[in-house]
Amino acid sequence: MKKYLIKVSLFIALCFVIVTFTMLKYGENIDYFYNKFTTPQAKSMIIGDSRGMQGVMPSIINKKFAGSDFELPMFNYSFTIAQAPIGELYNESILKKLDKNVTNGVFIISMTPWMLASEKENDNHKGEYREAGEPPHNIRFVNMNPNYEYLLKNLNYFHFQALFRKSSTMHKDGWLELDNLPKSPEVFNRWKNTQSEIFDRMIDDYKISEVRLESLDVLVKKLKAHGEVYLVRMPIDLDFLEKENGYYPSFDKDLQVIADDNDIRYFNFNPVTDTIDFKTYDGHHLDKNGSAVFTNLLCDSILKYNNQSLQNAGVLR
Amino acid sequence: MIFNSVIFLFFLPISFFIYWLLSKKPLKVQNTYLLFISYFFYGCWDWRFLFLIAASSLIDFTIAKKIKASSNKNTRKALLGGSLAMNLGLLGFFKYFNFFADSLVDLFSVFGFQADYITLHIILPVGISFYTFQTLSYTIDVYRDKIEPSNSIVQFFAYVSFFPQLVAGPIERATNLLPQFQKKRVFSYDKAADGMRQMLWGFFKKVVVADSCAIFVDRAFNDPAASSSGELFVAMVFFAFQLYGDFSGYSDIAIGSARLFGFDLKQNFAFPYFARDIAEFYRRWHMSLTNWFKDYVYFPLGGSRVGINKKLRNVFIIYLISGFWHGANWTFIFWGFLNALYYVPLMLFKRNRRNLEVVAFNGFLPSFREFYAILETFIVTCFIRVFFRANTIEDAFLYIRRIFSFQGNTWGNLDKVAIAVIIVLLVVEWINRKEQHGLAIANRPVYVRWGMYMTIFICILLFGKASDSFIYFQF
Repeated sequence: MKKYLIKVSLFIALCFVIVTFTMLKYGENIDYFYNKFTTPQAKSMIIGDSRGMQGVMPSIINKKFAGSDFELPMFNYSFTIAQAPIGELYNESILKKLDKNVTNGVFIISMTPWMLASEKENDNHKGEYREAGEPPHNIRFVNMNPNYEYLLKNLNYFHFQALFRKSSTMHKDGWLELDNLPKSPEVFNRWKNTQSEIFDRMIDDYKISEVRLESLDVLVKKLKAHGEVYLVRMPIDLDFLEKENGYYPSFDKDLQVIADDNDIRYFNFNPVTDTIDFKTYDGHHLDKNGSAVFTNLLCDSILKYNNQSLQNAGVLR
Repeated sequence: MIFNSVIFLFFLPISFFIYWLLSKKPLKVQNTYLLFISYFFYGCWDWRFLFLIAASSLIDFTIAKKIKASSNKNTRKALLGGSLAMNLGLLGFFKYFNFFADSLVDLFSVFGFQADYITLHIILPVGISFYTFQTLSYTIDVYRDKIEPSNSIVQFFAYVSFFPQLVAGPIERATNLLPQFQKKRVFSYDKAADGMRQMLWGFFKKVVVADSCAIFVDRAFNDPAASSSGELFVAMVFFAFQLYGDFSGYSDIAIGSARLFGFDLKQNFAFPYFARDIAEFYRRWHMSLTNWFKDYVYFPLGGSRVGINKKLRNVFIIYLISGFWHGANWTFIFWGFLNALYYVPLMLFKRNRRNLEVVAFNGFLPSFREFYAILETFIVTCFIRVFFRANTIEDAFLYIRRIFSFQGNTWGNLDKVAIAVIIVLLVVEWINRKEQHGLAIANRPVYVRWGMYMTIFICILLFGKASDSFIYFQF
């Protein structure tokens, strides 16, 4: 038995070393979220779905806000609509990731109607959420490197083949950079059609949830204790915007109400004007250049708003 | 709980350590512990069906004792009939009720009657086909005086529910497995180490080979009209490897796990894709089921020691029942029928027992004739398997028609990884084709062994896919 245990232990140890090395060296490529859970607690955060995960670049915000009083660095803690719609589960995870000592952070909440929607068969009042069981809600440790808990609980999310053929990079600041994006109009249109089908499916299957809307209010209040909070609606193609507005006509109004109640600003970047080139790769998600353009604009808007607020308050003359 | 889940990676070592810690305790403690972990293993899927296994075990335990105790032929026969009725009744209810109800409604509609029936939403308890056959064989063997009935209810319950082979076989005979529960297991390094090797190979076959092929196969079979002839042909061949990787992979993990606990289960697959004819193929594919049908159906019907007409009848009966065992669908029955058609010429020309030895036994490479025979057997079984995989017989014919329509000139978006891992599978299994499993490399130098272990682990890490089931769970 002793000989057997020694050899099995040796085998397990070797496997462990290989896995650890892979996670440390290639964690950014082998999983879309893994790196988000390997960083320290965040001082400032971007919260949202895939639109925010790919479209808001913390590195640009850090540069733009350098020298300000904001506590940085910025961290993008957005996921996709499957994992992180607004709700008590996401709120819990955000607070786990947040450095509680922060008092002057920046919190950008990128909102879409889908983030306030639930599947029709789920009763949010009874605590039924589609995202339960998904990361980040199924893990306790969100600041561990390497994060074995995430590996064990979300093994099916990993795509180790990316060691040979990289398709994405999850940067240490939480921003997801996708490679192999459409280069021809045909591929763009195909991808856009796929997105359109997803929107149509969500329109059929989802309903707006009051519980999620209340959770958004709770989140804003909790984050306000740690700094400035901004609600943002990111730019998308017009046809998708029409679908969203048709599905949730009072979306902007509801967000404005929450913003007013909490004395924060709601930035709506829709509809997109021709003067700004917000380039998406599927009509929905901004590509790398589009993200840079948008993040710069968002920072300028925030800075402008803050300056105005300070002027109004008589601090700046 | 399934073998390719993270929870199993914790369950197995914990169960293993506690089991061998208990090895100094009385046999009853070891068996009770095995029973407990087996029920836990099954209960993780659906605890309610534990009562079904327990009831089935209890009835057969009691009936077997009564058969042994009775000297009256008619009483013994009646008791056996009771056991058969109970076991096949449960199987029939859970597996075939909806099939018969649907077929009856269809039959009535042919004659212009509109029949209504209440469709029950019956959940198929995982593994029912496997453990029912196992308990059946026990009662029949006691009836035939081949085996003494078990005196220990714990032993018998542990035998029926032994977790490695509970949900998808191999279908063990009481004559092989029950005696192993009747004596204390002693830890053997060689057995445990070889069990680990077999498990590792099983994982490779399941999560790398089968699950890599599955993506391409599902796409083609779900919508044959959208695929080119080349794609459909490739998907048909991939399905052969998906099915083999899935099921033989499961068997390898099951047999390997059992060896860790000191048990020897029967070999279930003996490299069937190197078979030179259909008879050899089924001597090497799902051997525990083939042998079960042979011993409990084919031989009692007279086997091949009867006239030509009865011989033909017996062959068709065996293959049709085998098809029906796989599932309540006409596709499986038709698949069985085609297998019988393919087998009959061999039997008529008395060539069905021509290839009893391992191919190229005295050499490394097969002769051209052997290679051709292997290829032909493989391709024909692939075509027959289209009926196994398709949703309906019409779909299967459409699929085959489209292959021969030569429409489209592409082979599709071929997954190079899937092709590479199939080649690795074939090469490794060819080298070890005389062994009990594909990774029986105990006698190779240490660097070859460890090189293989780490290479397989890295392959699993890199190319392994996550699936939440095994194909044979549905049977």
